[in-house]
Amino acid sequence: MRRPERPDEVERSVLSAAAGGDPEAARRFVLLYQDRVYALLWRMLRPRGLGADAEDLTQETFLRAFGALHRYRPTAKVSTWLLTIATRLALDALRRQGRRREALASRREEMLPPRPPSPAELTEGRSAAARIELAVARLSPEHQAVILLRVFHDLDYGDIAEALGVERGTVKSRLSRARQQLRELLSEGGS
Amino acid sequence: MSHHDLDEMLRQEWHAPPAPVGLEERVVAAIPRRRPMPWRAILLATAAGVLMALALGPSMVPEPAPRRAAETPVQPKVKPAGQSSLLTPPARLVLPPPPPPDAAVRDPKPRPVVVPRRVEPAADYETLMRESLGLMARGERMVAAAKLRQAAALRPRAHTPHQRLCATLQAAGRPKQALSHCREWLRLETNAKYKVTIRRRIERLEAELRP
Repeated sequence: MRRPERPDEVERSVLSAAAGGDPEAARRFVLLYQDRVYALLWRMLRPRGLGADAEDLTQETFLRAFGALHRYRPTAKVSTWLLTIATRLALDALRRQGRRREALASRREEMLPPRPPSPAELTEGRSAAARIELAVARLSPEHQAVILLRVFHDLDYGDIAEALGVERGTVKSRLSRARQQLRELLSEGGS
Repeated sequence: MSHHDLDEMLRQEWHAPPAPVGLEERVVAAIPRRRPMPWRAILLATAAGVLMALALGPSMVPEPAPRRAAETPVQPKVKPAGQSSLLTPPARLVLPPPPPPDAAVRDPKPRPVVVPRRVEPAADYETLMRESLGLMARGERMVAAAKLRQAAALRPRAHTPHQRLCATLQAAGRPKQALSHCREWLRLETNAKYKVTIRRRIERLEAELRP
């Protein structure tokens, strides 16, 4: 079923009403951005087995946004601001997961972090989407965030730099590195 | 595979599902919102106010205007017919005091009673910022600017009021005023990443103001 088309950005009147606590405006605000926020979080978390957390983190993103609507900077698009919050939440979740795995592995040797899939495993009987997910899972969370924000959400280097709290040059180098890694993983698997 | 091909492949092949149905309802339900004051709290607040006024005493109650003796002269009691003068003492006739010599030229209107003005509770920073956003959205830029100035005075170290004043006054065609707030924004901004953008904006305003 095709969803009805919506404007790209929220109207200022809706934004100010939502900031003032109007529940109807808040609902419209969430409806407009929820797919974009959820998609980013799902693509960030699913390759590492945390896809089920995407819904909770989407909710958390909006709650944080509503808590800080009065601090919203009109210099950035609302969608960029929301994606920034979502990216940081996802990176925090992935770092927490990494720390948990390290702690478990240090206590019990048999519970080592999952071995990254080999190129052959990437192709074996898997769909293109599954292969992409496995390849993305081998990137670092920071590289993954850069490529998702650029490819799927069309954020420019400056916006990605702000979202991740790094320099613009770092974004360029991370993007280049992430593309290179993905290209290698996917072409090795496909040949 | 060029990076354009790679990006295109990712977009074509890796689709994310839409947000779960009903997510917006859950989000809206989870937003903490200010509840209207219940009746019990209103009654308690009123009672507390009355008690406080009583405790503070008459200093808080405005004194009534002094009565003018000339306006309300004491009328002599008229003895009803047939009543014995032994039972009731004779009424004492009190004459009104003589009017001042210039009574005719004075304003006959009574003096206005000076009632202490009720002081409106000062709006807090968050309220001012929220109101300014609504005013900006409605295009009432100068009213919004006034609110933002109040907010800036309440929190002298906050950069956000100056940031909004910079944008609002620039949009209102007041580059000189906008420039001073942009400079203040630059001074107070803690995030170094934004400083480049602010400096660029200041340079544009300065160029605009140059003859």
